[in-house]
Amino acid sequence: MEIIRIENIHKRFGDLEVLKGIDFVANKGEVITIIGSSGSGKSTLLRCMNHLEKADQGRIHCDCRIGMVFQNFNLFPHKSVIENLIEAPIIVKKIPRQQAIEFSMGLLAKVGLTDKRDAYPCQLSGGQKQRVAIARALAMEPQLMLFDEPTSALDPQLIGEVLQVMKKLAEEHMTMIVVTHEMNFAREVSDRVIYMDNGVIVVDGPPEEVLVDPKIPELRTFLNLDR
Amino acid sequence: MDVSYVTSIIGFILQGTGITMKVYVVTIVCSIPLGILFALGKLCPFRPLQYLLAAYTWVFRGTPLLLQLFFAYYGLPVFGIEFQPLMAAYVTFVLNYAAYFTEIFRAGIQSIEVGQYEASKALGMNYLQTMRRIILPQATKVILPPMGNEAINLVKDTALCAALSIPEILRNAKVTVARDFSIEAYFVAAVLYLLLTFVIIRVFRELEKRYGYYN
Repeated sequence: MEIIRIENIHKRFGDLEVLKGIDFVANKGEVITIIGSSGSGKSTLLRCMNHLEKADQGRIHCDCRIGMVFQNFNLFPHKSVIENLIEAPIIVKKIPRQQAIEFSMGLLAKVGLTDKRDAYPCQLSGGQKQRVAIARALAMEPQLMLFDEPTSALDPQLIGEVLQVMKKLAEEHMTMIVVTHEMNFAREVSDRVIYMDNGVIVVDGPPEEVLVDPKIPELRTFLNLDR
Repeated sequence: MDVSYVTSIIGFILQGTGITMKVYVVTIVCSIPLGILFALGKLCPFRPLQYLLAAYTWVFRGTPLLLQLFFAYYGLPVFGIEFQPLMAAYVTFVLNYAAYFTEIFRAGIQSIEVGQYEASKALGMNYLQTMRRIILPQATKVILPPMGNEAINLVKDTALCAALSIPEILRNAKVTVARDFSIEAYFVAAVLYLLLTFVIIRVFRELEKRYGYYN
């Protein structure tokens, strides 16, 4: 079952055409990783999906709720962890406060941070912040989760705990689209890997096909396979 | 200094404190919401509104408050608008301070990083929800120090009302000095202003402490 369909998306920033006609479909339960060098348009594509960027041309079909996790977490610094989680459910979905708290505590348990419920973001490590950010996105009960380089701002020793949570989500059949540089995650967890270069999708296939011994020279260079 | 003389004049000058505080409270209560509103207007993409508000802040920050007071009281009747002195002071002070607050709030709102807007939008919050729940509370922390400055300035600016013969602290002190040929009344006035600014300083110190719970 299709969860999001993108047709012929174009996006330019000034003179620079960042997306040059992207077609793309994600099905329910799929975990898709998007790889490519910086400037290839992968983050822009992700941000077009939930309308943080307005595509200049093309169509996006999606009538599900989309959650998003950012590279820089973007937690609300003036709110405690639990307040970060319950804010949108209460304000947007009009869920009663007590019910929102109960649901959010379940999510905090899932990301292993129940003991941090009353902490403020500035008191957390990067890995903890990102796990809170994931829980905050899940609090809105999205059907599709977008991850924009979720581990790129983290110290190496903190990356594992975030990937662990994402892996758990994948096992629960959450539909996920992940822009990442973590090739091991892409290989182990994703159903499809998309390689983008210069504003177009160059390859879209199962991880073993895209990552193990691809034929395209640019992709081989990107993956460092020809040394 | 003659203590019995000072006690005899203090009641009259304290009456002026009531008027001073009235002007103060009316100005704060009206100009802060106006400032927020105008700041949001300045940040909205509708160009004519931006120009209008830029002209407004330029005029009110770019001319002396005393001149604005004279204009409101002596000038506006030419256009058929007549105010009692106190009302002229209210209107002038509110518009003048709202102009400063507009700029302070605008800068405060702009200091909040774009990621906060994006996170709010990604969570489904609309513009008003984002402003009210996410942006303005954070901007408030940022603007407290400059707001504290303005709050102290306002205490002293209320003395300009003396120029419209409004019986506030300075006016009553001046009347006393002229009547008794003795300058003690000015000292009394100075002490009253110091007491008022002391309270304001404490209030803002408390507010900054209260907002200090996060970085």
